[in-house]
Amino acid sequence: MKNSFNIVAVFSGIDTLLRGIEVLRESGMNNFIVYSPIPHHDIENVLHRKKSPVRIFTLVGAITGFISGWVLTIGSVMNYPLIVGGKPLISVPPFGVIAYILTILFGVLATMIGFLINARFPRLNLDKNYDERFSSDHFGIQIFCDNSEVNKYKEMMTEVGAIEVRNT
Amino acid sequence: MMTWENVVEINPSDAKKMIIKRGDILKIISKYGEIELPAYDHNGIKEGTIAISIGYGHTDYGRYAKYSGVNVIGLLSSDPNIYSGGIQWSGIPVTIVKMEKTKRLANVSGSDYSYGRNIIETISINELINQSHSNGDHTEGNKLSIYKSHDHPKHRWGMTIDLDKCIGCSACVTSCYAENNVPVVGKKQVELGRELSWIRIERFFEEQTTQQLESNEMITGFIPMMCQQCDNAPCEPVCPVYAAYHTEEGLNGQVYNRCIGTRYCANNCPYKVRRFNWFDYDFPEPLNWQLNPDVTVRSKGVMEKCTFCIQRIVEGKMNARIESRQFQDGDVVTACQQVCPANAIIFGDLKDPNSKVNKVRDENRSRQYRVFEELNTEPAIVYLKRIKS
Amino acid sequence: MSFKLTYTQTDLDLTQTLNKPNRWYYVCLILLAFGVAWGAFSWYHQIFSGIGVAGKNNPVGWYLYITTFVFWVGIAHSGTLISAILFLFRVKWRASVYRSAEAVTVFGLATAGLFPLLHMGRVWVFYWTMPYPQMGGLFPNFRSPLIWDVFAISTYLTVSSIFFITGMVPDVAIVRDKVRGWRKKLYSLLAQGWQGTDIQWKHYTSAYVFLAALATPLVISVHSIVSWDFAMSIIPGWHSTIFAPYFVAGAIHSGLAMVILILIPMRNAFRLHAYITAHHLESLAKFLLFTASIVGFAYTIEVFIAWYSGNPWERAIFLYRAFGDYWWTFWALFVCNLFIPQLFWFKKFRRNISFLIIVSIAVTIGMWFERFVIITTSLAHDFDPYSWGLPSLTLTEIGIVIGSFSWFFFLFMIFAKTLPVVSMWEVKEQLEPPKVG
Repeated sequence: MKNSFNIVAVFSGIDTLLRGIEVLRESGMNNFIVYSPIPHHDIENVLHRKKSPVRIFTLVGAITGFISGWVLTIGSVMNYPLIVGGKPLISVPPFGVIAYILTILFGVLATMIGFLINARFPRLNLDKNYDERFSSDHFGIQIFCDNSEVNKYKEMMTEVGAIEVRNT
Repeated sequence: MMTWENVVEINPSDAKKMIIKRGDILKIISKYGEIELPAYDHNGIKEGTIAISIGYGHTDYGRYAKYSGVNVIGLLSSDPNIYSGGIQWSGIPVTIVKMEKTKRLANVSGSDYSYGRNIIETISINELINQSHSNGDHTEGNKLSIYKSHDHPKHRWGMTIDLDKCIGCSACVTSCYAENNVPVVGKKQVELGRELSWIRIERFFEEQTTQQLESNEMITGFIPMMCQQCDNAPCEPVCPVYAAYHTEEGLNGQVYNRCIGTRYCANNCPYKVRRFNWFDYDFPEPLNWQLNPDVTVRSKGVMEKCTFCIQRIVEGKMNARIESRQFQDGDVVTACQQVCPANAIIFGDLKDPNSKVNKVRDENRSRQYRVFEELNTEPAIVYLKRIKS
Repeated sequence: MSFKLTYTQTDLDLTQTLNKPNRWYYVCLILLAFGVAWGAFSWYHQIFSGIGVAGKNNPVGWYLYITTFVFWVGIAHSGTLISAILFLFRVKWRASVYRSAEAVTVFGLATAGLFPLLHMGRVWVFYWTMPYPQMGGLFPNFRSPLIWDVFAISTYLTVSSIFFITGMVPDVAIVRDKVRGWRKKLYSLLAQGWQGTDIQWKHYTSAYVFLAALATPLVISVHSIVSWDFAMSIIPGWHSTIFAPYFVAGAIHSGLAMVILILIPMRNAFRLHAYITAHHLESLAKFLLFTASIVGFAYTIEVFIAWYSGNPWERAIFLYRAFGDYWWTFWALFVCNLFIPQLFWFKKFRRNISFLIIVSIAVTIGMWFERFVIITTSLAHDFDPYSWGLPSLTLTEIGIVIGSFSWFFFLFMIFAKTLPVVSMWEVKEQLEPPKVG
């Protein structure tokens, strides 16, 4: 949802950041992203975003893995039946081990795919509004708005305590 | 059991008295000469005597005989034996001096004793007479399994080995080498424990107390041990690539081309009959002319073992089909069976009630046993207990 | 656990580990490279001549290669335990040590993964163990514990590499933001465009929880599967149901010792005393004491069951282990793995760096010998006394074992200078965030 203007406000403390987010939400603006060096539960609480769908990917991956394990093992012995050691053709305990391992493997791979898809990752170029201090010890809010609202939000952020506000 | 060289065979209690360990080099001095060779203590020698094999220590007899072992004839007197007129092979007094050297021996056996593990079982005549009743049919055994056993639609190969007839001559071992292109690994490799014989004569000294002999006596027992072709083979489920599998005819198959050489099957075999090709072994001229064209020559990294001469089984079945007749007992004779001078080894189809292998079992029910029965491997080879007097 | 540290200070301290290394680093690296070269040459020699250049024989078909294999797989386990399981239990002190521990896991597996290839007789057809239809529809034998190993170790390597690399992304972004020039390009590639937006963090933390949750059962199952290489056999001393928990406890035991052995020199070399504190090392020491007790218990139970069961094979193998050809290795196990760690009951020893090192070295040696005892004695002395025999020690086999140790430390040393060894974002997560007023 990109509008024509981006405003980037840099905050040096989490308290000012949280105030900044609160005033934005009070004013009805929800089209912004928050940069932070760490995931903090306060930020998550104040943002009220939807829960991540990555867990669905994990579940689907794990179930696929479990089923594939049984299909692979049972299918392979039915295709080319060989007797070994007097054991039955469909040996449940060993095949269960393989199914268990594939559950975990596919679950992990699906989780990774889910993360990459949802976070739209990996990206080749960084957003030009990204400030290198965001990975270290500063926080940021990037607001997407129309030309007419630029000044309003710039003032809002400065009032709340942003050490730097710029727009592009 | 020694290979590749001769040794001083000495009784263990003598060795203990002189603090001689197996492999210690001894100098043997007689009136006529002295030689140095390693000691090998075993119970087959009477106390107070030593024995040394002749025929070793050649200097001009070809590349394998040369310098193999020590020539013992130098210890003997040149005077003829007063009775026979021949060379005095025995009764020569010698002095033994222990040298401070040891060498690793090309000994194929691990321990000489069976520690009560009932590998070679014996039965006395009295027990035999008293047990004229059936002792159970060992072709089926006690099936302690939660899994059903598989069917054998056409044939089921088995073997009976009569330990009372076996004389331990090792002709079976030699014939197996010849028939199955088993390489000779050489002295160094035997010292490291890598000999490749598919069938071997296991020799154990066992203490026996019987009513007739009133004292403990060490007797020697031997048993030809080869792949038991177990129904519940422990080697099969552990092969990662199905190189070891069970055929429909009850054989434990080994697919050389499929083997990747992880050696788990050999670790799992309780009889330790699976042998590994640690190197590519030579068949130096003219030995390569002796190779059997019906059998593959295995490369390094591949596991091999007795196959009940499967090439002969296939040939026998094929001949029966070519001649448009049913397969009969006697169509297939394994190499070991073929050369055994005592006819101790009988091979045949267990599904045929009239086959010799079944007949011998039926006639000797009370003598039937299988090695390591309690491990539930269900071997296809039944041994008949040796009768001790 | 509160440091008087700030975000800025943390980043500074933990990125200066990536500064240009001094002379000793290069000396160590070259020595390790020699070790790796010796191992590689030995392997080359073995492939061309045959496995016979190693010391194995009939009956001892597995000797130092499988010993070292199980050893390295074991070492790999404690890393995942610290990074995944302690994460799920919200144990705070894990934050600064888990990255190095996870590196121990990944490199331990990279080393262990070589051994199934090393011990194979025909390694050029190793791919027949892969699950695809071969020779007209034949798959590998899924009943074989060796195939379970192939699956389990590949899965574990994949999962821990993913977990490792994913966990590092925010840290690599920090490094990317601090460097210039060609290094900036390199780290940008590795950071894959991480910007720390709330959306990214949301999905990231969710994925992280699930990765940890999925890696957790691997800690227990992978070494159980490796132990079943032995437990699925019938030979006495191997055919035992205690092997799965026994080996997992042993794995964590050896892994903790290796983590301590890595953390202490690293902490000194990079001056990370504020991050890897005496408290961390003490916690690891306490954990080591716990696993030592479990391992000691397992040894005692095995001996007890060997006697109590009345099984003549079991009794014979344990008597052989205690009094036979390798008796000194058996007693070394009790001393190194059970008795020496008992020093850690005393705070004085837990807090003393020299004792930590001594005990960790003893445990590492002891755990290697534990695998040696299990494998070699059981194979040398099983059912048929005619086939008892001992293997020999050859230069090739030693070369490959030393090569594996060199390879592990070589990988770790390269890691230490290219990627952050302590997780900056997780340490910062434990700190108070910067506040304005």
